[in-house]
Amino acid sequence: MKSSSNYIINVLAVGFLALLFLSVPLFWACKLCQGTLYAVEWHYQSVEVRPSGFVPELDSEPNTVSQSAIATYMPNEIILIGLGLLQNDPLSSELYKTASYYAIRDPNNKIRTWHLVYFDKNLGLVVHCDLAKTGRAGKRKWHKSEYLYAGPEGVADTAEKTLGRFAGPLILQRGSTARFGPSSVLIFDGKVRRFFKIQFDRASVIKGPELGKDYHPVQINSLRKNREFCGGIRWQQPYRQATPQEQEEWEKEQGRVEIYYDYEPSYRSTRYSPIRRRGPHNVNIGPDVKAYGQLEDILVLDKSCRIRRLDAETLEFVGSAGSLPVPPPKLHPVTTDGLLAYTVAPFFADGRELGIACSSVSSDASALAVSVFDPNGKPLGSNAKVRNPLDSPGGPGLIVTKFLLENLHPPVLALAGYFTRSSFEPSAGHRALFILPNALAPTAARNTYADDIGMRIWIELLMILPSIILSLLLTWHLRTNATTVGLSQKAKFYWTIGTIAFGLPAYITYRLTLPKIKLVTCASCGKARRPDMEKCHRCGGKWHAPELTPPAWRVIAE
Amino acid sequence: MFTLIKREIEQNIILFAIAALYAAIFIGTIVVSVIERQAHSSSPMGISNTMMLALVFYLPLTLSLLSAITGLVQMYTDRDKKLSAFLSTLATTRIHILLARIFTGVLTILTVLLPVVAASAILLQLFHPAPVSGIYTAFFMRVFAVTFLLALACYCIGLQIGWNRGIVITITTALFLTIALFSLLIIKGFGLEGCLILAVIIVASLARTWRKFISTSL
Repeated sequence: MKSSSNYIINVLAVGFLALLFLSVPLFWACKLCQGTLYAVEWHYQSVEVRPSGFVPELDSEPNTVSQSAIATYMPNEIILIGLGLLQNDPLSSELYKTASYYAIRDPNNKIRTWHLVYFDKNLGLVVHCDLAKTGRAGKRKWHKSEYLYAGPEGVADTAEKTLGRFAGPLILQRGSTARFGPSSVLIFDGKVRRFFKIQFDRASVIKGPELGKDYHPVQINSLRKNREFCGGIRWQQPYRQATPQEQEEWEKEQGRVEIYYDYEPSYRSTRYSPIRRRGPHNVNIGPDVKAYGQLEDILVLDKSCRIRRLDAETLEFVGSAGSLPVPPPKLHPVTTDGLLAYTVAPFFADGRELGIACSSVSSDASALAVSVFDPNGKPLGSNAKVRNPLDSPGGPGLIVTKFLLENLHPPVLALAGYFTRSSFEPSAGHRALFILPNALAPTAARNTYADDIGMRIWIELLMILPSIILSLLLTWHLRTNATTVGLSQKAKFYWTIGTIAFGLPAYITYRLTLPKIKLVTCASCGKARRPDMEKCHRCGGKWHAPELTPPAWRVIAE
Repeated sequence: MFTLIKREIEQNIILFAIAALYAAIFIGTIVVSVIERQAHSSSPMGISNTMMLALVFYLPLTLSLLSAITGLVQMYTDRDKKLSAFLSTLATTRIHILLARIFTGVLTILTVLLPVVAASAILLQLFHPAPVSGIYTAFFMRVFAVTFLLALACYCIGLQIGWNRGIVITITTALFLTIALFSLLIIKGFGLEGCLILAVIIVASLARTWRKFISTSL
């Protein structure tokens, strides 16, 4: 019994190691195929809404040759989707979830003080402290001072019980920066379902009304997720054709190369990206559009992808601002958890809000969508693009390679990928090793027949057919070998089930854990038999040892 | 048992010296980078890029290679010089020999890791005011925990591979498996998933090593 339990432990240990050391190279091989596909498909490709709807009077002019547009694109960094090492930057995870920091510059510009606002889980309070660098040159150190504590009931210098306690989960407004005074901090307490506005300079806390059960805010003000995988939202100016006189003057000054600038809003600051082109001179007729300015109301993103406007003073919802676009295929109601990446940008011109633009990436990074809304939340336009790798150079070959690599995974894990797809967080699905929710099989099954679950399962089984065939072939070879080696019927049965379910890793485990016994020829049947067994496992014949039979004669001493 | 451990440490003293030297160089690098950043930075947030890269990438990579080499050298030397065969004739068992060996391997890993952890904690407290240091502490605890598990997993793989004959195949296999394990860190990061997978790898590798060591004829 002890030897059999040792054998089982050995098989399980080797099995897991074989599965792991097979899955890791397959992961990288599939990643290489996927990354090459993305680089080829999405490079220089964008999705745009044209006309944007922000300047309809300019877009509808008869002289307009290029209407205004809102465009988004898939960045090249999409190749690195989901890699765990890149997801663990402390500045983008723990710090930014429940902390915010901003700088205040002294009016005479001599002293620069930093202010840190964060949620202390142990205290249950939002804490504000000043950080300043003091000391002699070369030996300056950071010093903290002037702590303030804020709870639901007020602000104080110490963590008094009368302040109350925030229960959490807490959502903190991020990215607040003030130049000439501390800004207020807006938080949402998920347990009491209220917004709180903490004004440290006035030592006051404004409490908003309790929200209904169907409101689930997930982000306040700065609405973005996985920004490195969601390209910035660009504004493209409208242009009209130049008059002959303007064309002539331009050719004299510039030559036939035109340089113009488009806004490329980023999460840090707006920046210009110069774009060159040749050809007839077109005149920019658009206003000076800026992105990411200061709205009167605060944007709040709900879990259902709706964006609402929150009054900054009363902390009540005052209307809808729009919603995140749902990338195709639009099969089920999508929540913010079901999107790999998204970003929202408000646009302004001459101090007036033009509206907001939103972009989102589907969970498997196969589709990109953008939508535009006016300041009242009315949709002005939307567009989406689904990648089609078959149209890209080398795409069919890469798809076939990826398909074959994914079919080296165990069939049971491939099926598990289909059934557990919706329970994976999108970026986690891109770093999955064993169960692959973003593999070609579950993706094809999901996208083919939206409502017919029977057909979807059939499609899934058809897509993993190479994996099943491989498992059956390996099982046949294993059974042949097990019969030769002399494994018991019970062991053969378990190995058969294991190899059908787990395919190549199970076969590798069998080969690694096979007892290394030299077989000898059976005198009865002439086939190989194990020397450590009393009977031949093929014919049941016993060992012939005629030399052990005592002779009939005896030596009798005289 | 203590005698066995002492004997293992004496036999692998060179590995301990290399580990201590590496830890010293590593700590020196991050101290210099932190002081340099402190002198030029005007923000209390963020830590030195060199320190971050060193702790998140270079330390796990080099420590995993060092650990794999430690395990490989221990087992290969044993098999080559038949040390366990000799020790088994004394008043000890194979399990004790294996446990002493594993203890020494863990000690080698901690010779590098513990000073780096202590130095990082001191630097964080010195140059970043609380609560900024507190925010980073949770992150670094995860990094060091996963680094330790990764190093231990590579060490266990080294123990398994080192028992085979054939130096070239042994080294090649150990290198491939160590790189595969390190790439697991790149895939999974410093989260709970990575910790769980590494823990299962350690248990599986130790179980296989134990079975092989106990049952193989010396």
